[in-house]
Amino acid sequence: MIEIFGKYSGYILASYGISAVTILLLIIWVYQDGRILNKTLSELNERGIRRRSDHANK
Amino acid sequence: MGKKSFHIWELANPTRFLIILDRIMKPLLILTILSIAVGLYFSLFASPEDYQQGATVRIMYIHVPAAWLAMFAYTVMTIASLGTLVWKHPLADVSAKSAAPLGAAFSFICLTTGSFWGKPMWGTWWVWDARLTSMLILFIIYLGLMSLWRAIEDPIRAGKAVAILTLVGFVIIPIIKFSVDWWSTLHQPATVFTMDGPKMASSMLVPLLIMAVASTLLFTVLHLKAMKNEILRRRIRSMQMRAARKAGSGATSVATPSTP
Repeated sequence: MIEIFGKYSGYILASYGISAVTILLLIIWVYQDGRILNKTLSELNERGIRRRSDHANK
Repeated sequence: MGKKSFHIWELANPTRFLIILDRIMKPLLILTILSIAVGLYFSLFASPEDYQQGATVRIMYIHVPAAWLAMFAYTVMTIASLGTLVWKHPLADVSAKSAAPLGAAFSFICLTTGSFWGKPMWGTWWVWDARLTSMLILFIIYLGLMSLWRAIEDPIRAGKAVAILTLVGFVIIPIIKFSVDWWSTLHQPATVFTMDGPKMASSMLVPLLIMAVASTLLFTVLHLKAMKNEILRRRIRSMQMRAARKAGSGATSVATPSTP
């Protein structure tokens, strides 16, 4: 056990650890979701499927 | 008179929103990382131990901002729900949907870090007192709202149903805030936002406020990014539906001549 915070090190490190893991998972989830959506969007564009507003702008 | 007038409603345009988002995201991200680094340094190393609680007071620097953010996220969702139901703002339900998982995550952090703080100080991981129970209810409300979003396929219909439930659920926010005043709880009363000002030494208050700002910036970055994702998801959905309709009408027009 790392004793940098005295006898309560375990509780403190566990708190910061769980928070870090939760936030890290949240960041990975949000950015991974964005990557998948961008990929799907470019695949649709490559297939010639566009939004109605894109057609209207041309 | 010939000048084109600017309407605030123009900001509601999702395309314009995405352009603004792309411009502000990088500086916001840098600011968030810097503030988290400074906040963690103060919280873990450059702040004193409490004369009664010892080093466990360091848990406060993540527990309290997480609690504030859990309530702040729900308040954002409530305002967004009003935007959905009253003003029919096109980004309102996008905002509400994107904030729910973030609020759930911060509620989870608040509950778990509270347990890790409670065990050495109270001698128990959990107690069914008003503050802890109401925070647990908020976490469950978040999970319920996220499930409802997934249960209804049409995002417009889902947005309206979730908005009504969100407004009803807002009652939990004042209950959480004032639970320590209304009931006798094991949880300590408010020490920062009180009528007489903060009841905390500035050596602890400053790190706490830095962590609160850092957490709020983190929430903002993730919320904006999740909102962008939701806008893209809806665009993809409408493009896929448009493609399916086109394919369907093409199939009908081909099939029609051969019909006797």
